[in-house]
Amino acid sequence: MKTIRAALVGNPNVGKSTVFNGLTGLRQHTGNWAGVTVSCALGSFSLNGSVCEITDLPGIYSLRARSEEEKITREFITSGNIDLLIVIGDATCLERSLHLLKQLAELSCIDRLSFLFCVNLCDEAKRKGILIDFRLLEKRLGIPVCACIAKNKDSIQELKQQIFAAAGASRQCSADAPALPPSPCGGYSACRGCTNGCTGVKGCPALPAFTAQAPVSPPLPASSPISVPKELTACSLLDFSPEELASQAVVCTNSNYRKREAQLDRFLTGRVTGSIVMILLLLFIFWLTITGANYPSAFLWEQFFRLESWLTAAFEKAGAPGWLTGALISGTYRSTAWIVSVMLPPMAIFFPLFTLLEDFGYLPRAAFNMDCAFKRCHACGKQCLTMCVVIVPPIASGNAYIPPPCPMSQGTRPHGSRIRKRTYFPCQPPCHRLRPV
Amino acid sequence: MLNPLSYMKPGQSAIVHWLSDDRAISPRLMDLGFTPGAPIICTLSRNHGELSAFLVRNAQIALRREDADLILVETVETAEDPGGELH
Repeated sequence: MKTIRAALVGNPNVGKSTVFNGLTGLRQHTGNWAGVTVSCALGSFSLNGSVCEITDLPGIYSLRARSEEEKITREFITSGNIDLLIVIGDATCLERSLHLLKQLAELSCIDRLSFLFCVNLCDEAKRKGILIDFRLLEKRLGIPVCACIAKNKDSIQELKQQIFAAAGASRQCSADAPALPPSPCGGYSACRGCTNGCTGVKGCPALPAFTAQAPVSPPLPASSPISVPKELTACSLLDFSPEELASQAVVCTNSNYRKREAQLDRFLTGRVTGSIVMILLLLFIFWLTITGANYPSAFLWEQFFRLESWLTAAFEKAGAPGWLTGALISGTYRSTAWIVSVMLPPMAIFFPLFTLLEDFGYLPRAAFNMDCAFKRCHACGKQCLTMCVVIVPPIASGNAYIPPPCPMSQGTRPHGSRIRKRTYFPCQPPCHRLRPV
Repeated sequence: MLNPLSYMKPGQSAIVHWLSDDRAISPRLMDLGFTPGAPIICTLSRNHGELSAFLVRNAQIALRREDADLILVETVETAEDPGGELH
């Protein structure tokens, strides 16, 4: 059977990578902030003998590519190398996902791409008292819609079935539909406004024009002037207005959750309380890292030392000259053992703790607190997190100072700092003018 | 009356009316939901609007003053809003 090629797209921080990991069993890095995935990841899974090859794409706000990640995503979608586009939505802010879905729908005229709208974070939405009418969504969108909780195995299993069902249905459907006439610009001619003048995906002058019109317009009436070719409407998305559909399909039963959240936010970002909480939290993590790391450090050192004396004895027995023993055991081995036993435990303690803070969603608040101060030195608040991540473990590991990868250095930028660069303030803050990507 | 977005105080709601396009950031602001007609609520504010957070399309987004000033809004007087009772 033919392999299905699918791709995961969606707004940043809706859990695409978590869904990807759930589907493929891989361990792509995930995190509770925007822009964790910066390049495509490929994986595959099978169900009842059929195989699906799936690509995890970086999160995008719209198809108007501005950042590197958005460019990657757009080029991938328009390349025509996929059969099924799985749009991941956030149940807690469905309207955002619908806006992106609408933009993607306008691309569906290329290559008869089929869609599956997967509404993730349903557990979070339930906790916040948000109810979503999936039947209405399915009816109005004209594509399969499924609810999903990415951390739940049953939910992922259901999603797998939905993926194969959606891909199977579209294939049947496209076999029935008459073929499109060959286009002069790689499939783009079907798009509104794209004339013969365009030369391909990258150079297509009509692309900004037709992606721009969806978000600019004020709340639309249900019939907006987007023409989807007649023969494709059967398999592709129906026309819809994101605002209207979101207001119809989403019911918020508990308005108190926002109040509580707002209260907590005010406390965490208050001028006085925010700083106190931040300092205390950092000190606590600092303290836990330093004291906690002592025990495994001592243990590791003991083991390494035991091995060292055993090795020295073995070298002596073999009759190795003194300079060799000195260079290999007292030099290479001892310094490696020392660095490992001193550096490893603080790292192993600090990073999980930091991940915990991240999962609670504290880090964006900390960045908010720090932004005013960081602005004065032409940096942005989220960089204080990079600072914590690169500075705390070396300090916590005592005098064994290994220069951290400096995020401000030019040239080869470490992966992590590139991730954190686009973290909290989704709009490019002024500091990026200093360091163009 | 139209005001720049940075004039908003926590708890106030407003409707976006106009967006300047003289900086590269404005299309990005539009992608984030600051489109004409969109309802927004100011949730947090630091240093008299130097840095503020807004609830747009059910997500909180923080903007610095220079970016928030690109957006003109009409403040809506509401009896109750999420942050209104927190003084």
